[in-house]
Amino acid sequence: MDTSRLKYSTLYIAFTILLLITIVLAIRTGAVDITYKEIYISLARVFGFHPSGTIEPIKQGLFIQIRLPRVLLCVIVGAGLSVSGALMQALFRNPIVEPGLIGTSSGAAFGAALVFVVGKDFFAQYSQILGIFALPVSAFVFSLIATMLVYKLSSAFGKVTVSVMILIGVAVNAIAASCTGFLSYIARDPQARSITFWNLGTFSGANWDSVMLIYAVTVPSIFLVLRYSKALNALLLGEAEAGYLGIDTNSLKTKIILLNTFIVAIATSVVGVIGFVGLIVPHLLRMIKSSDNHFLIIGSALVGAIIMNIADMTSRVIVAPAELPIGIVTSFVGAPIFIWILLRQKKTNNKGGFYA
Amino acid sequence: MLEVKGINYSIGNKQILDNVSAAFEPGKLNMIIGPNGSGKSTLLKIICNEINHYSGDVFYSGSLLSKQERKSIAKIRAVLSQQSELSFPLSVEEVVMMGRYPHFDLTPSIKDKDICLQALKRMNIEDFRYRNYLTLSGGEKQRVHFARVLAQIWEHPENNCRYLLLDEPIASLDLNYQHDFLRITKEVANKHTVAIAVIHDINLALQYADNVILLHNGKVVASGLPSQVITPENLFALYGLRCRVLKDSGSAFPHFVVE
Repeated sequence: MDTSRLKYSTLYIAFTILLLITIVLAIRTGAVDITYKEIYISLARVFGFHPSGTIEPIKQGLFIQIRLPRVLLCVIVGAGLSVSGALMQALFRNPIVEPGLIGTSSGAAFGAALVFVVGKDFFAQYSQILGIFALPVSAFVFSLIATMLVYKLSSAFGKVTVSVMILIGVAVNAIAASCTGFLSYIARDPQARSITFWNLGTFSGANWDSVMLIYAVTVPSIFLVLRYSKALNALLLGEAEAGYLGIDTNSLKTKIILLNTFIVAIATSVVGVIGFVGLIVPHLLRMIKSSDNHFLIIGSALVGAIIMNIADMTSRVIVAPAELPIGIVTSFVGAPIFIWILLRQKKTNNKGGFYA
Repeated sequence: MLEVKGINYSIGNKQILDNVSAAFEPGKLNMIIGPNGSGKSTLLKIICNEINHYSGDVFYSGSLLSKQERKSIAKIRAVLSQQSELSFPLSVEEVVMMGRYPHFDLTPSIKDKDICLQALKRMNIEDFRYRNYLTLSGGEKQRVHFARVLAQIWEHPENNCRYLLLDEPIASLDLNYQHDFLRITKEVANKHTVAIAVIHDINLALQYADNVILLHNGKVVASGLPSQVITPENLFALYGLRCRVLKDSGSAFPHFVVE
């Protein structure tokens, strides 16, 4: 089917319907099944109605306090990471960039681990001021340092080429990972366990506080970056061309890197490192329709949420009643797709397409 | 009117441009000619504000380029480079619409869409407006970018002229489209536009240029009417080649052949 002829609005509607379906399915799926009727009764009760029918209080608690925040967190983290992938790909003018490859995620992971392990002792006098923000702030700072390091170092060779950038990304990721590893080595046992888990990514810690925090950060950020979609499109022509079209490319780059790091770091500080979603979702959208960044940003938010929901459902079902860290699922599926994209890119390269 | 005055530019010890001054009037097609490394493209980049560590001044309609806002100049000035880096799948229409970006904020107006369509028609590519840009040939891609550049300065600004700057625009085109490009450039130039093209082909310059600037080792060797500037003596000085002039009674301009 030639999907490139479909209208943007048609695609948005289709994505939204799919998202709603996966949300309902994700709420139902898990160690304990929740029926449609029970979902309806619980929701109605929350909003102050008195529907007929009954639900066991424990099931209602499970739905409202565990399942629902988890699914909502999944939705927003999937949206955030995918939008971030789309932004980074536009900024680097390269379709194989994502936050996990250029240090953004691993930097955030280190920043968060730092607060876990030495936070209580080292930041003691500040923790009162920073309070619950210590974790996201530290994640953001280190995430930004790692991202800037990769960006500056790979631009130092003139034109940013894929191979140089990925190699520098590997190096910076290795530094961040060894620092995180060091922290988990010196940590006392329960902390170390939580770092290991959280380095693999998991939504099992979802609660309403984390949902609020990430929605408050991600939703406004996505609306904000939509304003830059035109400028990001122009950047695809090259920096000089974007300048001829009236765009201040340096200021654009700074804004996009900051917003992007903000989205990724806050999400990572809560759910850990989840790779490859940001890579695959925008790529999928390009194959379906176009590289127009307005479409990629909206589409990535919707499709990213769908994919993350499916991945999380898988991680809950595959070894039920236990659950797998979601990062394992996304990497297991994502890494082969990444290799496939690389090979495909090499092919198009020969025909003068994509990046050298 | 576009003027450059006393431009000096060097990279390290190498002087790329040496006290270059020139004036480009609207209504004329100006061509910059010179051998590789003579500084043609550098001069164009300075005029485009892409290079800014130079000494000397560039004036657009009498006001200094460095004092002008990037956004407002993008509404009246378009630049076509040798080749674009675009390597993402976008439809041809979406690429041409980029030319209208300086003119709208978030979504294109009906006028922008209309101009976009007219530019596509002007370049004879409205048939593949929905096609993926990446599937086009090199020459087709260049036509898409020319349509984009035309769309950018489609309307005449009030109390000002338009600027169309082309850096070796026809290198990847076949004969037919080389002439097509230059004809269209000349048409645009005639409508109160300052048009400057860096070009290699002497004979095309003789046929289309109204004003020619010869650059050699960063210096202006000669400038003026093509018939006066493009002479066997000057060409020998520039390229070290002996040329013969062929004049055919049926054609309005002379032709050069290398001996």
